Amino acid sequence: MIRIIIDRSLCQGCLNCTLACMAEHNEKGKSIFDLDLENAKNESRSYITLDSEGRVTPIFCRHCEDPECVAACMSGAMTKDPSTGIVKYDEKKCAACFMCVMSCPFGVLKVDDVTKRVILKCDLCDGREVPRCVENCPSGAISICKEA
Amino acid sequence: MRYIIIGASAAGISAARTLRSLDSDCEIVVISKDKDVYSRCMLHLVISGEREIKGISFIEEDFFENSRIKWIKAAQVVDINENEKRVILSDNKTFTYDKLLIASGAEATIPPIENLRKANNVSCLRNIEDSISISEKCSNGDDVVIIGGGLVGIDAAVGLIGKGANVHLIEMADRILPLQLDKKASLNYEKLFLDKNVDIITSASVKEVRLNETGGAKEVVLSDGRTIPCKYIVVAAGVKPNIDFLNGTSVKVERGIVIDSYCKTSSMDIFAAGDVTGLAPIWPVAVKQGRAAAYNMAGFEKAYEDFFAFQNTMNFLGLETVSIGKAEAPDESFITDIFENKCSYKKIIHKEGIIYGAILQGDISYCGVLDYLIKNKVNTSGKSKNLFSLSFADFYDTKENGEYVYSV
Amino acid sequence: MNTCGNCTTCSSADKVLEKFISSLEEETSHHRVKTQSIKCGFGQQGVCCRLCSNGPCRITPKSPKGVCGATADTIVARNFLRAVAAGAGCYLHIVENTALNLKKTGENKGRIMGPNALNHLAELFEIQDEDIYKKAVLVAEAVLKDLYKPRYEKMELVKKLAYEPRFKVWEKFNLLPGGAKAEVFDAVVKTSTNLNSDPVDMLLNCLNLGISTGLYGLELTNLLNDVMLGEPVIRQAKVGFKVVDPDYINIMITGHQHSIFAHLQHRLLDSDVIVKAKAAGAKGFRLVGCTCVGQDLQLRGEHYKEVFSGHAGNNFTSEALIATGGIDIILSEFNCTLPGIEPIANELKVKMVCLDDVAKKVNADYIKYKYEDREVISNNVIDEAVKSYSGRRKNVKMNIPMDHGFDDVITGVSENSLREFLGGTWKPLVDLIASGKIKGVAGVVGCSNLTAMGHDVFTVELTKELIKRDIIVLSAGCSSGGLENVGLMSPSAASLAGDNLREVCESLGIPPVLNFGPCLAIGRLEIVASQLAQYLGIDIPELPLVLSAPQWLEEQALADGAFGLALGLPLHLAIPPFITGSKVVTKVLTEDLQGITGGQLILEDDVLKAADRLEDIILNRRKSLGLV
Repeated sequence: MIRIIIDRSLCQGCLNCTLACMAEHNEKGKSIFDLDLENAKNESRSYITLDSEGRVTPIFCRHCEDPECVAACMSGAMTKDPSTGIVKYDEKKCAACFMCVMSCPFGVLKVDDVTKRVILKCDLCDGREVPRCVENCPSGAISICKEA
Repeated sequence: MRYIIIGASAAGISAARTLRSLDSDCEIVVISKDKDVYSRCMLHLVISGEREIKGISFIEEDFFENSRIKWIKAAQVVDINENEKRVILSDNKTFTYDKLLIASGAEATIPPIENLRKANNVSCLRNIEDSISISEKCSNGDDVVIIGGGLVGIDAAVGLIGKGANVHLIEMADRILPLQLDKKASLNYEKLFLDKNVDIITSASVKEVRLNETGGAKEVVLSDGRTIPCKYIVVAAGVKPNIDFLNGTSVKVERGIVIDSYCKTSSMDIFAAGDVTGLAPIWPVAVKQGRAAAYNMAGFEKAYEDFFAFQNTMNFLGLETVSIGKAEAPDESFITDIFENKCSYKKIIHKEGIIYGAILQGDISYCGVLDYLIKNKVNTSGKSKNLFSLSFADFYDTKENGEYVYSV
Repeated sequence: MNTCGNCTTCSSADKVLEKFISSLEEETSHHRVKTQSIKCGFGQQGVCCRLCSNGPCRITPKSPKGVCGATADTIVARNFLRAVAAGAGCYLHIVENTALNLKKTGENKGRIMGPNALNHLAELFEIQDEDIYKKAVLVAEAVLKDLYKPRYEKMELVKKLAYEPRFKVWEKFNLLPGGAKAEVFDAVVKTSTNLNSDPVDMLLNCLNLGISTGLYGLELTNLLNDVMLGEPVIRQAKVGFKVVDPDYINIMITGHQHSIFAHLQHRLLDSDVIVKAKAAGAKGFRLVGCTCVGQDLQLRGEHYKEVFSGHAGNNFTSEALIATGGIDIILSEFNCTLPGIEPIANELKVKMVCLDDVAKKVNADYIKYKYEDREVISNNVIDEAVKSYSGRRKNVKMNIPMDHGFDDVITGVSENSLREFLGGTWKPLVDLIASGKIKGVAGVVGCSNLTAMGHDVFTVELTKELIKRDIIVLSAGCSSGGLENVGLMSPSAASLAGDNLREVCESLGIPPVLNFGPCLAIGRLEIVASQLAQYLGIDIPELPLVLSAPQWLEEQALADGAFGLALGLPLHLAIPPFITGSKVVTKVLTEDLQGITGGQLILEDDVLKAADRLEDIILNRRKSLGLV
């Protein structure tokens, strides 16, 4: 069971985590230099936003214990893996109904900008030992906690 | 311990899955009229041919096998003997239960319009058989009348566009999707439908159906006297819970089966969940009710009280919309904020800091926050005046295990 | 990575050094690589702009322009031009001081150790005077005059220095520089807020700056130094930390301005000075080379056999060198004078003196070097050295790894000394290339960094690949420091070369990797290229010659690189120079430039793939020349 822990006070808004996420999910290659920063196809699954007082806040999928997105999914595309705890998204099963986008209470989800058919869902880098965002956070605002 | 679940859709499957996770030894039997497990929200994809029945399943292929759940498919329950704790099927087979969950869903209704129920080329859009029938009987160029411009009627229209049919969509209200959308958002869809040559007729109802020699509907007559030719009619005029088989039982019913906060019916050891309860006929509620029912059946007390049903998403003809709560301000004491640009139309209805409704069309990114705020009547005073810019950041807090939690 | 306790140091091609550094208590740059290993993706791609208070802006798919409207292309080009301008400025500072020193030398009838070099320059500049000293003054003044011209006046020596076909190309594309310092000035202006947003204009500007960097900053500095300090002579020398002899008062020098030490290096051998050393308990004084000025001394080592210990290592060995305890005083006049040397110098009580404030360290004494003050300064330095030696030696333990380095490195290679070695003409080299005994020539030059696979790792691995393919490698800069410390510049390295090249090396008694000295000597390599091209009657882009600056480090390297591109050379870098965020800049430098100057930027971070590409270019050029 692996979970990303966030310490909001350490977040500087440098956005390196979003770059790392885009690079990790880039079809063209995983190096930062393969990442075309002008291509709308590249989107991060997490985002950094400012609250009403301008405070920087990381909004990351929490892979909730009791995920609303899984309950809302009528196609079986969103599932929670009981052993890893990861809430997985299966693009092929998805029927683009977007109930999950509406149901996530933390507003973590969005539809992709280019095809408007795919949900941008954190997959904890699909089995990578350390999620790429955690690896690239220079301030330690995001870290991993491995529960037994 | 044997659990029997009637129904293999959202609530039934959710309950079965949960029961197995709570009790690895018990016997779980699912009895369903359906002979496949499929998502009724995706039936329009079968009409258009985009997916086949296997492709609209919402469970893993080996679900029943892996979870060691016995599935009796294509079986209809006709009665329940509460004293013997026995369900009776139409072929006279019977099964005893220790606890029973009724998740038999709802059936589409056909309104009592003259000849409508008699015609042999009419179906609703509730079961896979409907989709197959529509798909087989409607071809390119056929005139098809859809009665009802709500979510199901729209689904049918979209599916039929895929078949190349001439669709005539008839809606009583002054706009399609009248419960979910305001005039503007609804018109945006109307425009898209018109681009696809769908004939949308609002503020009209069907007064009469005229039959041909072979007993099929050949045309409908509208309230304003117009007639529309048709080769097929799809009725999308509402549903009612599947409770006929309970007539001989003591289970209390009103609109649907009456349950308490623990999904218990008035009859001992009988529970109910999903559309059959008539409380909030949307998928997520059915899933969560099924889960809660399972907990309670297995002896763990778990209350379920979220029946907020006014939350819908729509995605068709390339335009996505989310509609939560009220689509229009009930009176002038409510404030309506509108944000519009060439890619999106957003509307938030609020009063004294509480948001009562939201429509987002075109850009629905991150809108789950609004869903939470509306559902829980969270007071947003003190946050940004621009409600469209609200995010979870404004209510940020975390549990010890790192999960997010609202700070209100 | 090495681990000792809970610290890790980055790997180095120089395994003896790596072991030494990982055992140190003092912290060096090698220790700091790990904690800085998370890089900002925007910085890496060059799309972060910090010019104004509406920023810092970053380009992302969701924010494709800066607040002012600048696109990725504008931001990247601006950042790149500013870097090239800074780098050009660095080299121009060096040539300005060098020319000034020559002028003063002439005016004061000071020591002219390279009269032939002076005559060569005078001939090139069309200056005639019987008096050697007046000649020196006139030559220096000609250089200074050009440097100080305003931007709207083209520099006159460009035509005299440049290879003619190249000059014609530069003239055609409007790349000829005006006054070098004015050009740098305007480039800084151009890249400021809301000024130039034309990426192609800015890239062409880089080439212009490259030309002044290359001809003045590189080529001329070498030649002017040759006049004052003596011409390079090929000889074998000792390198590595083993050159540090604790019996001497060791003076470590960092920088690029050899002429600043012109007086000191002779003064240190005066008998009254040696007496001072002996009185303090040492045998005498020694200059220890580290960074490019050390390579300069090594290059001219023939003239300084007594006072110069040898070149200990390149810039990223400087901290470890001080940590040996054997250095008594550090004289800095330019880069690389790492900030990281300060805590180590403080800890080990090493005196720091700065002779040019561009290289000032916090705790260094600043004595501004002026030719007129050379005697006072030298005596001052000597006294400080003695004081430091006396004060520190009993409190500090020596930790000099005597197994580090080599004794037989071939040094002193220059455009002249190499040609002389070949018999006074390039014919033997050309014949070897024509026959295929030598497939081609590769310049593996420039800096050392710690991030392209480790300290000097890419440089050494790429060099080994190239020589395996019978491509002879010429090196200059900190990369030479790395290559010589792993033995690739010793004659025995011939065994690592491919069969053909090995045969050539063994018969000539040379290594397959030739040491031209400091990065300034990249200018010498380019003179070699021009002379080879002239000999063959072709232009530089047609030569089977490629350039790699695999572990380029700083802005000077980029200015250097701009010259390489202006010369029409294929230039390989292992790490992109913060340009990939712009499709326009990347395309112009990696593709379109071939149609302008013939130059091509090659970005490749895999050693084998880089070697393949460079070899391919060489083979294609051989084919075009009709060679098999």
